[in-house]
Amino acid sequence: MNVSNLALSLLPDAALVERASDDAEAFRALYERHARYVAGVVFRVLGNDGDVDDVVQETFLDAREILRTLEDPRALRGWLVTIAVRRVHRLLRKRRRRAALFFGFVAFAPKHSDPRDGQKVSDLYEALDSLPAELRVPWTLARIEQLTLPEVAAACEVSLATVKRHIAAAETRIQRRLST
Amino acid sequence: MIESAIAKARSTEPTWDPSRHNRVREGVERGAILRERGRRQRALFGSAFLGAALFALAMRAFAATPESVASIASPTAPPQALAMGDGGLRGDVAVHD
Repeated sequence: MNVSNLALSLLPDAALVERASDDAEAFRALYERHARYVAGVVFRVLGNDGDVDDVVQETFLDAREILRTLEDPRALRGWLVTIAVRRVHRLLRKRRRRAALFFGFVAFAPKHSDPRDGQKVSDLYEALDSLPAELRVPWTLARIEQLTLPEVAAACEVSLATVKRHIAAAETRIQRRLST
Repeated sequence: MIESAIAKARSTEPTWDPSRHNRVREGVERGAILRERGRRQRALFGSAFLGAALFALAMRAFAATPESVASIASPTAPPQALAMGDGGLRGDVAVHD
């Protein structure tokens, strides 16, 4: 890491956001700071999944293009999660379409095996795979990622009431699925 | 059952090692260049198409003569009526020749 990169890494988000639209190094510093967190969120929404890298990449590409539209640079992390959630929605819809096209012969998620995964987690993500993205994403953000309800509503770009309704519906369906 | 599965899922982190981190970063940087290039090409093709359309319209407008306008206004006019020029046959004269 050279001196200018070190200096950039010490700047707060707001200062980096101001520069990052025109300065590739500043954007890289933003990526270095937040990529791991975004990858964690995407990973927990999708499960142990081979598409995490693609979603993170597309998220930062989108972010780079619309960085100027970010009104409050201090809310950068939540804003990145919102963009990632949009990408996750798109990916899940595409998977469901593909699965419907092949009458369920194709698995929802291209999961790679990881011996560290417990059976319970696999069962949970299998149950999540059966949910539409509109229920799955808010439930995962609230229950696994432990975001607050207003944060989930902001990330999913829906009202607080809708988020509560979706989380409750998802909870019921997951409970039912896991109990069978 | 569900609570223990959630607790386990919460504690699971992706293996976000430096090589994966750098690979995705390079993908972002390369993707940004490709998207920018694509945007420029679309803009170039868009303006070329618009220019060609405007040029074609301008050519039509400049090429319009009173006779061609009349032929458009009167679709029943015979083809000979379109042959213009000094001494040429015009309109009804051509029909009754």
